[in-house]
Amino acid sequence: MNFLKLSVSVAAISLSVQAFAATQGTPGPTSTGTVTINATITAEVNITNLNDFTFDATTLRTALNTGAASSKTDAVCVWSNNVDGGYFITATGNGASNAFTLNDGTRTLPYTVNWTGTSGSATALTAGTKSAKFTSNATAPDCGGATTATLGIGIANAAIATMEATTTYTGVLTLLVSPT
Amino acid sequence: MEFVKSALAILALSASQVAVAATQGTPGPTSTGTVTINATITPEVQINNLNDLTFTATELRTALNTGADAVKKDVVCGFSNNPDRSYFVTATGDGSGGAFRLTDGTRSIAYSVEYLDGFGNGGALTAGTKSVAHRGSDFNCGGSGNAVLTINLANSVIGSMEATTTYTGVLTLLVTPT
Repeated sequence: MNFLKLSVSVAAISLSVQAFAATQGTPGPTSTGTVTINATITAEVNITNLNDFTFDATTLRTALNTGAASSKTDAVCVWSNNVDGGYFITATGNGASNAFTLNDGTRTLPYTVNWTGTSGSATALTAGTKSAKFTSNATAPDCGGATTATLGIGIANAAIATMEATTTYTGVLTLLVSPT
Repeated sequence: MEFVKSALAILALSASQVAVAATQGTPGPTSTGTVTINATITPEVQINNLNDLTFTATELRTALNTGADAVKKDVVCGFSNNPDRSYFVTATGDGSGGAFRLTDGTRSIAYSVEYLDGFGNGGALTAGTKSVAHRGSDFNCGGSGNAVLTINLANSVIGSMEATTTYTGVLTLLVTPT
């Protein structure tokens, strides 16, 4: 019984607190009331402006012949409404166990992925592992048409040397952005 | 003008196809986008691990005295990224018309060339003529070789050599994927 009384009291206090937030007008020549408006939003993120990558034959031939790796970058838009603009990236390939590999149906070719936030240097990503925190200075989900991060894809020279001609290696890279 | 319109239409179509391939995220508690990565390479070949070959006076004297030919072999590395690892060799000497000949500036002697890969493909090469198909292996052969280049000086040729001079020649090996 005592528990019931306590519960009713708590409920009454809660109602009174809410009632105090809005102030009521009183009868008179004018009457003024106020309401308090509250708004909150959960942590939200967005990734857009993504483009496919193509390592063409000429690019890879040059890399093979010069002993260099081949890399390409794409400027993308990441937005986060965290106070510090922070976000995390989890990249997964469509190779075995989400590995970063391209495939021509028979053979596989490994590639590397790196990410650069609005500031800082490129950081290598590990397949299926949430990254360290990056930050974005975007103030709108579409970055106002600008970009705030750079996605980099690399193919090592040793991997290029294993590629076979007259075939195309393809892979899909999925980028999951999370606010925490 | 119609051509320009058609070209622009094709470009627009291509652009829209590219745009469709990558998927964009949408705002939310998490956001996911995807990109497709494509990679292709042209047929590429390489020959390396080549070494100069020297027939010493002792070796040639021995060959001459025993009636044998003098033979030198070098293990080289042939690479091709063709699916079947195939490649072809065209050898040319620096003799007249690409002939396999050594010269001391005045006199010249003939030599013969053989190329045999690790799968048993090959044999004698004809100057300036593309070989049968050979098979290679990994790029740089893991630091070793996968084919044998053989230079042969016939005993009769050795018998025609003059002393106190040096015969020299350059053999060029052109490797092609087709």
